[in-house]
Amino acid sequence: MGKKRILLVDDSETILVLEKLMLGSDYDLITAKNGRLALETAIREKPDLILMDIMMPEMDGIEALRAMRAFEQTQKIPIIMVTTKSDQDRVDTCYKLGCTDYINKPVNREELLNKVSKNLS
Amino acid sequence: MDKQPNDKSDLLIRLFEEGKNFTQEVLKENERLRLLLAAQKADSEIKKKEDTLPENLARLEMENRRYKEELDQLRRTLDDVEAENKEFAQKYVTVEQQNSSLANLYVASYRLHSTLDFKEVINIIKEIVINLIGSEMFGLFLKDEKLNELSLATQEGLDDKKCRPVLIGFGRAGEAAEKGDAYYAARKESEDDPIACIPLKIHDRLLGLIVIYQLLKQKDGFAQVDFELFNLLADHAATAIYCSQLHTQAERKLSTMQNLLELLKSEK
Repeated sequence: MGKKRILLVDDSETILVLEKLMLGSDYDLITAKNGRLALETAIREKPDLILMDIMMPEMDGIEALRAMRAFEQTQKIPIIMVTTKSDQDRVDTCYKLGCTDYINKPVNREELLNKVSKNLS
Repeated sequence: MDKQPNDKSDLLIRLFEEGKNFTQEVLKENERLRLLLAAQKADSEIKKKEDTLPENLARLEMENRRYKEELDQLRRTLDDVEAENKEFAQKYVTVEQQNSSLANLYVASYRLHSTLDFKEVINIIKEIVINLIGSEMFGLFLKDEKLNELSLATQEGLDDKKCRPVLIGFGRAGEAAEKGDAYYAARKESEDDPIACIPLKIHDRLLGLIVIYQLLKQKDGFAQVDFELFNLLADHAATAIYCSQLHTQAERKLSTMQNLLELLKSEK
């Protein structure tokens, strides 16, 4: 069985490099730098999981999450939101829109690996 | 004459009956003897067992002692294995933390030296402080050689007051810049006080200063990896800034020279 495919979405190249370093040996990774590109990539590539930042230019993570849940091709893909701000309202909104889980920045390697593995099983 | 056959017949019948009775008695006696033999055999076995009982008891006690010793040995081995297991678990946690720290340090270093564009370097430093250190209120100040002060290059979440230039030698940030040593507050005394000031230096030459006022809500304080990141930033961010400034100057000079050459060519 091939590796599972994860779509990493973040406007920060630093975070993308870090996530690639942490997940690259176990998963196939594809990236997008904003919500719009993430939506297009998710529809086209149908990843097994999406790891998406909230604060992004052009289309933020919350809008992208809303759109992904509206499209048939992406509505069942588990989505983990990555957020700098841990305010409960934002997290609640993400859960209401159908996100599967969330993690806070700075990203902790063990937490990231655990949540990704849990949501892929 | 007629009586003789009857007498013979009675005699025979009597003889048969006597024979039958005798046989029955023999069978009874046989049964009695068989039972007696069985009882004697049982007695003999009991006696035999009684004779070997102390010997058996001694053997069983010896076996019991041996099993106890084996059990103690197994318990000691189990304790050793459990201790080893705990040690491995602890080592695993340490290795995981080191991996995580190394990943952060590698990414910071990789990103800082991935470009010669000055604006991009400043943006990368900002990304590192937000995403790897986890600060939501900080400023990056660069030294103005003419004014001998540090002016704001980029910031996140700062009010106007905190965006003012840092005067070298004045205030927590100014003192850290003057001494060239990083400053970390054990606890924040007031909203205006920074919790960390990290001078960016190449050898003893000060190029800039990162002043951190607040961490993200989910962070209780600095972790070991944060101090390692600060050390890395102090050197590598300074080098990256310096290189990008030099590169920008060189590009500008090159452009001027090219324009000048083109002008000279056109005048010919």
